[in-house]
Formats: sequence, structure tokens, C-alpha cells
Amino acid sequence: MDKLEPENLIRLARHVSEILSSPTDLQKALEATVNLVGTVLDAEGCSIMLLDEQADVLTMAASSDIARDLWPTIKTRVGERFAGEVARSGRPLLVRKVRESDRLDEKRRRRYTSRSFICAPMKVKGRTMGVINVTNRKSGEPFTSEQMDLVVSLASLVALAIENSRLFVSSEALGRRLRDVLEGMGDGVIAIDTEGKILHHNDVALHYLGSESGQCVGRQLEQVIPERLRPVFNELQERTLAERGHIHQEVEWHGQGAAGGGAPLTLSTTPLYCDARGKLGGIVFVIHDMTLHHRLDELKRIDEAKNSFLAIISHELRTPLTSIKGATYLLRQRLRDQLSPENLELLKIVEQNSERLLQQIDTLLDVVNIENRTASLAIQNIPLSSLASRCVARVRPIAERKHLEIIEDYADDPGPIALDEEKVARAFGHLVDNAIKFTPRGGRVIVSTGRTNSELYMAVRDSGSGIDPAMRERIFQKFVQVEGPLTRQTGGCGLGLYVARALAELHGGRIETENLESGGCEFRLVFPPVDVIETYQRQGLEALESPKAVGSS
Amino acid sequence: MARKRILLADDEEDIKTVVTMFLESQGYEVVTAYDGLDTLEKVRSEKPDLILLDIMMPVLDGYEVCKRLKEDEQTAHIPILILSAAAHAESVKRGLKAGAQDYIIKPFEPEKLHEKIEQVLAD
Repeated sequence: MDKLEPENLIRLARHVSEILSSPTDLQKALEATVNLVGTVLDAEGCSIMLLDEQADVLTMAASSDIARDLWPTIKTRVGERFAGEVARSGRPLLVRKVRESDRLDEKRRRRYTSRSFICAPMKVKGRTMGVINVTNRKSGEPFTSEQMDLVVSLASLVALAIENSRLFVSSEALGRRLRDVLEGMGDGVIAIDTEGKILHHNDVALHYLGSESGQCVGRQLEQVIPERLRPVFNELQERTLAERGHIHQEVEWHGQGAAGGGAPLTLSTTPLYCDARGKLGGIVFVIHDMTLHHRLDELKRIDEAKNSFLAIISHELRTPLTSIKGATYLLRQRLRDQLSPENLELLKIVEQNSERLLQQIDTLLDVVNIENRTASLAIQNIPLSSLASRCVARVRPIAERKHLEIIEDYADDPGPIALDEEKVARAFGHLVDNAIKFTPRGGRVIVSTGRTNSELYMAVRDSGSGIDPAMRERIFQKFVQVEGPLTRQTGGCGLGLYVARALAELHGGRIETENLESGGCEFRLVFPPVDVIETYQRQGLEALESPKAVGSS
Repeated sequence: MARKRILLADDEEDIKTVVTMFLESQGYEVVTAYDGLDTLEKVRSEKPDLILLDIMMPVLDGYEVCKRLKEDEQTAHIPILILSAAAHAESVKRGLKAGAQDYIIKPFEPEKLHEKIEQVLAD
């Protein structure tokens, strides 16, 4: 075939196009191509080498005359040998007679086994993807420039096929990823075209719809959704198609939830555009299970109700307590000189327990203020030691009944600092109460104040059984109480440490706990340096400027 | 010196009894009112030197009573101390905004109430 007949050329082109038109199996197409080109050009060998752009190396991908298992081992660096030169320059090469070629020195000429040679770059959009090599005509004649032109044209076709195949593979991978994403979603997704035919869907969607059918792609949406839901879907479908804009309408209905059983579900739609110019290709329905949202709303309502209940309780308990305390005060005033020691003792019990009741009411109110973020600070300059001794004085009667020794050590007291006296007294009061509670009869409690580095602290040390390290964080949570032999005797409702920590944090401070080697543990109410406290106080006051509404007061 | 007259407005009978006894023991003359409207009337008829005002009262609450008294030229000069079991920071803010001289949370220490009354009457 010295001259390439037009009909041969057409046949060849059609044949190559056919081979290359099916991009699913590129390897097969490449192998068919090298065999065909070899035959048509009557060549001893034809091969395709693909360029690895990162490594700058050509690797054989198919050959008509070399054993298949050798292909991956045949590599040429870009710039080396004929193929490497072509890959670098992007220009085809025809060597009619290798032995006479002035492109090679004597040594290289001898190394070449081929006599005549065509190498054409496979290029798409100016990018070289590899080369086609054709070697030695069986007739012994050299290749012609006409034949080279043919190989160049074929190389472009092959390059295009490779590009298509790669795009196909990557879009396949993208599609697979999208399908995985769709399947992994908690929401149900169904995409339909403008005629109502299902384009995609995930299993979750079918579950929410209560549909038993497995794969529904290609079916009409109407056939898949339960009859009672059709009006909902239809209305949204029509509106979305008519309005064309982004509609995000939510329609709530009861269907099968993620956890099985009935659940409130919402349906929203978005138009699906098939091109950048805004041509409408269909609609995406998203089905969302609202169970958790509803549960969360419910919990918020309950929490708000609880806080407003606590505020009401605080008010309702304060009113009778005002009468009790007032009446007790007047009784003491009027009977001052007439009370027997026994009656005085009784009066004391009324007074102390009224005080205790008031503290418990204050704790409830602190919880409300902490949770509504309406706690504010009334700042006074006050020595930590006087706050600490106030707390001790309050618990002394209880301590005496338990035969506890309370030691107060204010030798290192840092002096007056700016604090909310009542709140810090309540915070430290909770720590002291706990120390008294958890110290067994006859034990000892040590209260002290001091300074470490620039921080200030109030500390109380008990001789109880210490804190289980596993409970160390939990004891600061609401309503958590340490289980133990003393729990039943000690009572309380599990709010003390929660409130104490929040009140400390309101001052920019914190509570530290430490189990002591001597047994028992130490709680420290730690305050940052004075200038830091002031910053926190400013922030606290700002927060109060825009408080949340409070249920009742 | 004439005894100072204090109007005590509270709907709780027991609190009224106890506080009245205490104030009288401290040398004040005490008149009482049982709801918001009664308070407004008693202010006009009794012309007190100071008002101790509860918040949660029937008919008109203490905030409203306080506001009206402070808006009225004839009564704006009379000092008002709110005595309330509403201990929430918001309530305190609201009471002071309505024009009260101070806000005392129930239950209170009788001596402290006395101190506060003396202080306000001296101003």
C-alpha cells in the first residue's frame, strides 16, 4: 500500500472512530487501534505510549508486536530517544532510513533496531498526552510523508478518545461520590424531571414515604408516593415549575420517621436547572424528619417553664418567710428579758431554720438568673476573710451539733477586693456547707484565704472521704449528688456546686478541687487578679442591658 | 417633732401586721392600703411622708402605682421604698425605673429597713 487510496483512508478513519467511540474500555480501544494501524500501513510494529506528566515519562500502553507483559516496563523519558523528543516538541517525526539519518550519531544509529520510523504526538487542545510509534514497513521500503500525515491524524483521534475516556471515568467517579453522599444523608432526596419522572433518589426518601419499592429511577413520582401525599407533592411541584425561582416551602405531614414509627416530616423543593442559562430541568424534593427539632423545642419550652416556675416559687416562698422572720424578730424584741433558756433555744431554732430556708430560696433564684443570664453584680470592696468568717458563723451551730472543729486561718488574707458580697458569700457558703456535710462527726474543717501568684482564693478543707476522680467534673452539674454513705443524711438537691461555679465564673473566677493525701479534699474559690475581675464585671453589666425576657417574678 | 407617717401598701395581712408593729415600735405612725387603687386614694387622703410599696398587688401593681404617683405633681415628692418578694434582677431594675427611691427584697432585716427609712426621710 504505497499510495493510500481515498476509500482505504475513509475505511480506516471510520474503523478507528468506531473503535474509539466507546470510551468505557480505553485499553481495548488502544490495542485495536495499534493492530489496525499496523495492518493498514503494512508495518512490522505499531505502539502507543502514554505520557505521565508528573513523572515526565512515556510508558507503553499498547503494542502490535511486543508481548503484553513487557508493556509496563517499556519507558522513555521525555526528551530522550525519538519518542521522548516528539513528546517534548509536540511535532511529528519521520525517519525514512534510520541508518542514514543525520539525527543520530554512529553509536546511537547502531542501537536502533528499526530501519524506518514514524512517531506522532497525540495532542488535545495543545496538550500532548502521548505518542504513536510506527516502525519498519514489511516491504523494507521507508515510510512516506503521506503516511506520516495519516498517523498524525489518527494520533489526534486517539488523543480525543483518551480525553473523553478520562472525562468519562472522572464523571463516573463524581457520580458515584454524589450517589454515596445522597445515600449517606439523613434527609430524603428525590429529583424528578419536568414531566415527573424520577431522575435520582436515595433510600431514605423511600423510607420516609413508606414506599416498599427498591429502585425507582425512571418511574413516575406519582406511582411511588402514597396517595394521601400526592396533593402535597403535586401542589409544590406545580408551584416550583410555575414560579421557577428558588422556592423553599415547607409542608409538614406525618409519615414514617428515621427511627421508624410516625414522625413529623417536612417537604421542601428546589428547582433543578440543567444548564447555567437557567433552563429548568426538574425539581428536587427534600424530606426532612422534624422529630429532633420538635423534641428540642419541647425541651426548650420545658426548661423555660421550669425557670419561670422557680422564679414564682421563689416569690411565693419569700412572702410567708417575710412574715415568719418579721414575727420572730418582734417576739425576740418583746420577750427579750422574759425568755427561759429553753424558750430562747426554741426561738433560735426558728431563726436558724428561717435563714436556711431563705438560702435555699436564694439558690433557686440563682439558678434562674444563671440560666436566663440575668445575674448581675453589686460590687463592694470587701476582704475575703470577712466573707469567709460570715459563712463560717452561719454553719457554726450545725457544726457544733456534729462536734466538728472549724479552724479559720486568715493570716495570708489578701485584703479588700471588689466583689459582689452576697453572691460570693453564697458561692463560698455552698462549699462550706458541703465540707460540713461530708465531714463525719468529730472531724475537722479548715477555712482559709490567701493569694497564689496574682490570684486570690478562699479555701475550705474537709476531713471527709475525698472525691471520686470519676465524679470530679460531674459534681458541678445540676442535680448531681455524690452517692455515698453520707448522702441520705446530708440531703440537698444537687444545685450547690452548680450555682457556686456559675457565681465564681460571673466574677471571672473558678472553683478548684483537690483530694488531700491526709484524706478529705479541698475546694478553692479562685478569683483572677483584680483588674480581670473588673473586666468581667463590665461584661456582666453589659449583658444585663439586653436581658432575655423572664417568665415571672 | 411630729411623728412621721408611713403608708404601708401590701395585700398580705400578716406582713402588714408584722411590719406595722415594727414601725410603730420605732416611733412611726402607720397607715395601710390593701391594693393599688386603695394606695392611690390613701396617698391623697393621708398625705404620708413615705410609702412602703409592695409590687404584686391586686387591681394595680406596684410598678404602676409608683409610676402614677411620680407622674403626679402633688405626690411626686413623696419617697417610695419598694418592699417586694420579687427578687429577680429584672424586677429591681423595673422598680427603680418606675421612680422608687430604693428596692428592698423580702424577707428583709428589720434594722436595715429602719436604716433605709431614716436615710430616705433625711434626704
